[in-house]
Amino acid sequence: MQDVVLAMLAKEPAHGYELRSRMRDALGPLGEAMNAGQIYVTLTRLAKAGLVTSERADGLPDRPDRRVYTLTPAGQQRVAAWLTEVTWPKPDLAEFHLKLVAAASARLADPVALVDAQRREVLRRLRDAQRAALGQAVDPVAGLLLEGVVLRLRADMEWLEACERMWTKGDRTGRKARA
Amino acid sequence: MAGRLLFICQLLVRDLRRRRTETVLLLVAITAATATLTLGLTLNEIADRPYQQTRTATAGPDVIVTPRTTGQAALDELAARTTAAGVTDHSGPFPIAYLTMTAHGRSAHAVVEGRDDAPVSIDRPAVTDGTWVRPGGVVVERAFADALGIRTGDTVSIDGHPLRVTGTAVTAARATYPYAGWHYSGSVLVERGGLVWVDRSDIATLAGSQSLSYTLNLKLADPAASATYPVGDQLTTWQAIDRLNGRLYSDAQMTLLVGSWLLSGLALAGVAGIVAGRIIGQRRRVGLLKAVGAGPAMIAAIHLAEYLVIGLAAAATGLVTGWFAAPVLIRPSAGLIGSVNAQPPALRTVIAATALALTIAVAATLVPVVRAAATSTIHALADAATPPRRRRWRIWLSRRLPTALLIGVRINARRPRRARLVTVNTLITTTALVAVLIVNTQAVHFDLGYTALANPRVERGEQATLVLTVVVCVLALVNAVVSTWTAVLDARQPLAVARTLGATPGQAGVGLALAQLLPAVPGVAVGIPAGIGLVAFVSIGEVQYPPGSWLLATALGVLLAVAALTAVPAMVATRRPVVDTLRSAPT
Amino acid sequence: MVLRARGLTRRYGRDSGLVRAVDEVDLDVPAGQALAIMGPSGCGKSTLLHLLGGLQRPTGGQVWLADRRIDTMSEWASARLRRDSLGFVFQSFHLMDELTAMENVELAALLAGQPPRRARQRALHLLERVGLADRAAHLPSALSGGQRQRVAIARALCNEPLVVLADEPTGNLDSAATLDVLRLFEELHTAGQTLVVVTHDPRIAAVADRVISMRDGAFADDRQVVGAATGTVYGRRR
Repeated sequence: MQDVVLAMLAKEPAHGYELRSRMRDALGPLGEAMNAGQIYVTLTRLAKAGLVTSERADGLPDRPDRRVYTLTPAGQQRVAAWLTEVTWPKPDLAEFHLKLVAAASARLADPVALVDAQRREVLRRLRDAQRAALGQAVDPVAGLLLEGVVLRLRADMEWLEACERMWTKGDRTGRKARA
Repeated sequence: MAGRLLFICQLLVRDLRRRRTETVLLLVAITAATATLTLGLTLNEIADRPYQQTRTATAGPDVIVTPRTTGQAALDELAARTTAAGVTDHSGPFPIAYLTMTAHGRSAHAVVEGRDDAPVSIDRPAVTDGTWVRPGGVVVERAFADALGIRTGDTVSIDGHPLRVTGTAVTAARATYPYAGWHYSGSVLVERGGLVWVDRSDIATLAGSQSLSYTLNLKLADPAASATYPVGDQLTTWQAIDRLNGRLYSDAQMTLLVGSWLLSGLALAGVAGIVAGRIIGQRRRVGLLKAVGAGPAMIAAIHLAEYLVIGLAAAATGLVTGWFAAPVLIRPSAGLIGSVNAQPPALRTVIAATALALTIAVAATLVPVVRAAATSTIHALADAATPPRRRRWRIWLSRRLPTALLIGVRINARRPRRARLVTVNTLITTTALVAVLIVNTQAVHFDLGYTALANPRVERGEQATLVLTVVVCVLALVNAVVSTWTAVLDARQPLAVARTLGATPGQAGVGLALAQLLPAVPGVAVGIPAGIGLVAFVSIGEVQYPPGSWLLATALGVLLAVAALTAVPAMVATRRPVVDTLRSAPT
Repeated sequence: MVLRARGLTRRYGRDSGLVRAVDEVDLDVPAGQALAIMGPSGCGKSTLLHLLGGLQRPTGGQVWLADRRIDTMSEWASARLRRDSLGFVFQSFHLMDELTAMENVELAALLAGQPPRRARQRALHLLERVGLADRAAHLPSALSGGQRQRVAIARALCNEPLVVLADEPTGNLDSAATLDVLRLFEELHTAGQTLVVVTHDPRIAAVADRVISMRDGAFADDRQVVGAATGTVYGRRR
């Protein structure tokens, strides 16, 4: 979040509300869920770290959303460093995987039922994202983000299908062993 | 290089074995053409060679003189001939009477020649059964005896005088029945008849009031020199007799030679049809070969080699078939000695048959093979069939037609090349059948008038016609089946789509049958005048045209046959569940 | 119910080779519903669609389309039924390569015996509806995958079918083309068209108001999807 806000300021000094609407546009339907206060909390933290400075605009009460924020040279360096970074957030599949293993070994729950429930949840998210993408008014740039989300969720669906195949089979072999 | 050859051979053998049905069909198509050609060419040999053998065996003369004058005048005229320049030997003059012989209630013109018991230096007829002439007996020329059904020991009557048949014989001094050269005494008009020999002492009695003619056989220092003699009603040469004997086969030969052109056309159409289907299957392999580095030349070589091998095999099969079928189908004249198959086929026959087979194979395959070799590797690997053609006006027209016709016209328009092959196939078949029909009409009017005897020439002509008809029909059948089957395979997907859109299986099946029938219609329409034209072009005499209703029946018959042949596989194809077809269809 | 099935079964082979492609399936599709049947490949969903469309005969069970029993119909009658009451959309489009987009669409009307002029008007109207009026004279080879599928959908709609049956309609399409097809389905759905789509593409769920999961020839899970994009509620029917 901090890096994103810094990068948004790199173009020109801006008000907090300007930053917020810019982000909402880029995120499209997904941006609607963004908390308004979040951006000011972030800006305050950045100011404390010396990465941004802010000025009071003339004739307006001194509130965070009325201040114009500017990058400091340190802030600019941070933005440059961020752009060249290649880290990639990864969804934590290991946790769900271990959940299934644990459920199966301790007979806490049927892993297939867990997979099924999880799949329903992923399908719901996928459906929402796809419906959002179907909206006629979606800006192409924002649509790109939705497409990424859908693709990710489809990959998750495929993995869950593989899980189901595996655990259904494991169930069978387990039953066979018991018989 | 050796490795490459080995590779080509391996591929070739595999491919021939994997697609056995197609290989056999290709073989059948080309063999039919070469066998008919061999048969036609062999007839020459059949007519020619036995005469040579007979001439040697009977000390045949080089020149035969039979003056128009009779009695002493004729003898005087002939006496001068024996001393002419270049004449080394002679026999005769022998007395001759032009009479009528009756045997088993049937009459025929007979040239009666008076002979002595003692052998002569020139023209010693070879007795094939019984004994040579004796007083009160008669020896009948073998082809004549054959035609009349006379055996040794029978009694025949010549102008009312009963005579016992002592034997049969063959000669090289006169053409065999019915070309023995019978004519009314003093007339120049030669009619059909056979030759008999009687004892010289009997001939005057048989001739009765008719004055005797005389014939003289001459031997020349140079037998070929006789070619310069003016052949007419009073003089003939051994070459002329050879030709006359050959006339027995001329109709048959003409029929078979013209037939072999037609069959070559049919074979070409058939081979092209099979190859077109085959190449589609081979496209993927072409792609694979290219992917592993084979050049277009190499690929063309591999595929052409395959068809050349088939062509060569078909040439060999055709030659053997034609050669063995010849004596069975075309009975050699009984009037000559010597067996037909004594020698292998003449070199020119072999060359002609092989050339024909290879021409058919190469002509039908060159274009698709080169095209396949030249397609891009990716395209070939993708195994995409050549996209169907779009025929704007036919699509436009078909919109107005009932469903089955709409489907038929559109399927037909998809593959113009195959439609053309169907047209060619029916065109040639109709041409051949119409020609056969006209030839048969001819034979009916060709009567001997006063005798019910079969004319051996017509008989042989009819045999040849029959052979041709059977071969044409078989080949046309093969072509029709192959073309229908490729059509069925190709139209599976569009028909399946039409059926998901609600076309009934009946509509789809009838549509497919119509797709084959439509291009057959122009073929049949053009085939009728083509057949008439062919006969008019080939025959020398006036052409008798069969009634229009017969021609119409032939045309309808061909169309009906095409429809029936197509309807069966079409119905079978539409019986398949739509789902199977859609599933197997390429995307 | 527009489409109803009871105990629908299709088996292949016998004894040890017996495959239950569709196993005792009960299904009710009310008019106007957009139903997605989802499952991995080989679960029998395509066979189910073929059985529902009368393209294949079941080995057991019954199917009704608008209260007419269709599984026992003659081949001729089921051809008429497909012509007048059903529209099919396939993964591989199955357009005729030699016909233009317009001709492909009007083919369905021509086969149904409509006069050429009416068929053409109808085809033009439908191409407009799928947004391809300007591509009417193009051959399929000149169209993109998404455009081809839209032509195929127009063709399926040609005879105003009671139900449109679609088999993996987005299987061969990229994401932009999929979006076009989904939007089109959404419009059809809004217009009250009954849709049955079998697919393994979960994106179809976005336009469905009911999703059924199929496993080994049977329904594993049948969810009625209530509500719009936001605040979606999933209710289990079983």
